[in-house]
Amino acid sequence: MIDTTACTIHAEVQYGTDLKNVYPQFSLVTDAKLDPKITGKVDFSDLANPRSYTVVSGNRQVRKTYTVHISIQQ
Amino acid sequence: MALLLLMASCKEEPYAVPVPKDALQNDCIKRSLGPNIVGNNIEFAYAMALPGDKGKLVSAQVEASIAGAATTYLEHRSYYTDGSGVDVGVEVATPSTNQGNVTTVNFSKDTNAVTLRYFYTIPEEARGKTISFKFSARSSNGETVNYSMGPYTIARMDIALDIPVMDAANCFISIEDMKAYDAVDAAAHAANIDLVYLYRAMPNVAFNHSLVSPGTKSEYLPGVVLPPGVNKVTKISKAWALRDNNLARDKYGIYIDDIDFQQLDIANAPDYAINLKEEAGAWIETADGKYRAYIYINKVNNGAQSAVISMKRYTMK
Repeated sequence: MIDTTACTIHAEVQYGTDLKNVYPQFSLVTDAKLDPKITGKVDFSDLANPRSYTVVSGNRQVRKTYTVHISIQQ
Repeated sequence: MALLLLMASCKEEPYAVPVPKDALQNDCIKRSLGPNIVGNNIEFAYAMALPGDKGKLVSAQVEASIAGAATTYLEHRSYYTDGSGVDVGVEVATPSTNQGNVTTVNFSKDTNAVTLRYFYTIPEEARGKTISFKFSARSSNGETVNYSMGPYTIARMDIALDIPVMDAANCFISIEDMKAYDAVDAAAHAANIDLVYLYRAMPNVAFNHSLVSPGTKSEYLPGVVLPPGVNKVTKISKAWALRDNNLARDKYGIYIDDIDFQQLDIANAPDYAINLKEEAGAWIETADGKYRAYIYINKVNNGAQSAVISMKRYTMK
C-alpha cells in the first residue's frame, strides 16, 4: 500500500518472516533511483523506528522520501 | 592451400582390437563420491588381468594405511548383468579375510581376468586423517602388480540418519546427542536440547512443520510446555533445494563437506524456522558455537504431526 501524498509504504509480510534479514525490492519509474541503494539483506525489525527510502527522479531534481511500515500477518 | 594439406594428412585408420601387454596388469577406480564420512564405505573397483596362456590369478589384496572397520571386505564374486538388468555374482574366490591393514582374497576358480569391488568401512580412528590404499594382485606365473590409490581425506563431521520426530512426543532435538527426546528425557538432558520440533495447522498462518529454538519468542512455540532448563537459543537458517546426497539418499549429486561448515556464516540468522516442507533443510549453529549442523527433512506426515529428519554435524572446537 503506497500512499504518495503521505509518503508512506505499508507492507504486510507472511507470519514467521525474519525481519532482520529482509531483501526489499522496489520497482521505480524509468530512470529514477533509490537512496540508499539496496545491496543485500536489510534489517527492518525495529518497528518503532521505521526505515525511510528516498526516490530520486530521472533528472535528479525531485526527491521524495517514503517511510516503510512493515506489519506481520497474524 | 593450407586446407588441402590438412585434408591429405587425415587418413582414417580401420579399427583394430588393441593388443594386450604380455604381462599381468591392473587398474583401479574409486566408485564412491562425496565426503568420506566415518562409518560409511569408500568403494573401489579393482581390475586385474593377464593373458590366458601365461597362467591364472592366484590372489588379490588391498592394504590400507589405517585398518578399516570389521565390515571392510574385498568382493570374492565377479558380477555380470543378466538380460533383466540384474547383477548376478559368480563366485571366483573365497570370501575375503582381514588381517590388520590387509584384506585378501584367494582365487578358487581358474580365471585370468576379473574386476573386484573393495568396500572400506571408515573407522573412527581415521577421522580427520588421510588414508592411502595399495591394491595388489598375484598370478600363478609368479608376477605381481600393484596400484596405489589416495591419499583421501576423511571428514571430521558426523552423520545421523532417519531420526523420527513427533509433535508433543519426541520433539526435543539435541545436536550434541544427535537424537530426539520426549518431554521426560528432555528434562534429564535439558542442557543439551537445541531445537524443538512442532507441527501446527493454524488458519491463515503457514506454520506447519517447524524447528524452533527453545529460547525463541513464545509466539513461535504455541501450546508448547518446555521442560525446565530447556531454553537455549540456537541459530537456524532455512535452506532450499539443498538435498545433500548422504542425508537425502536421493538422486541429487550435491554433498555438504567439512569446509561448508567451516565457512558457514549464520550469525544473523533467526532462532526459528517455520513452514518447513519435505526435502527442505536448515543450517544450525548451537548457542555455545560448539556445533554446526545441517538438518534435512526426509519426510513429513501432516496427519500424524511428525517428520523424519537426518543431520550432519560438525564439531567446531
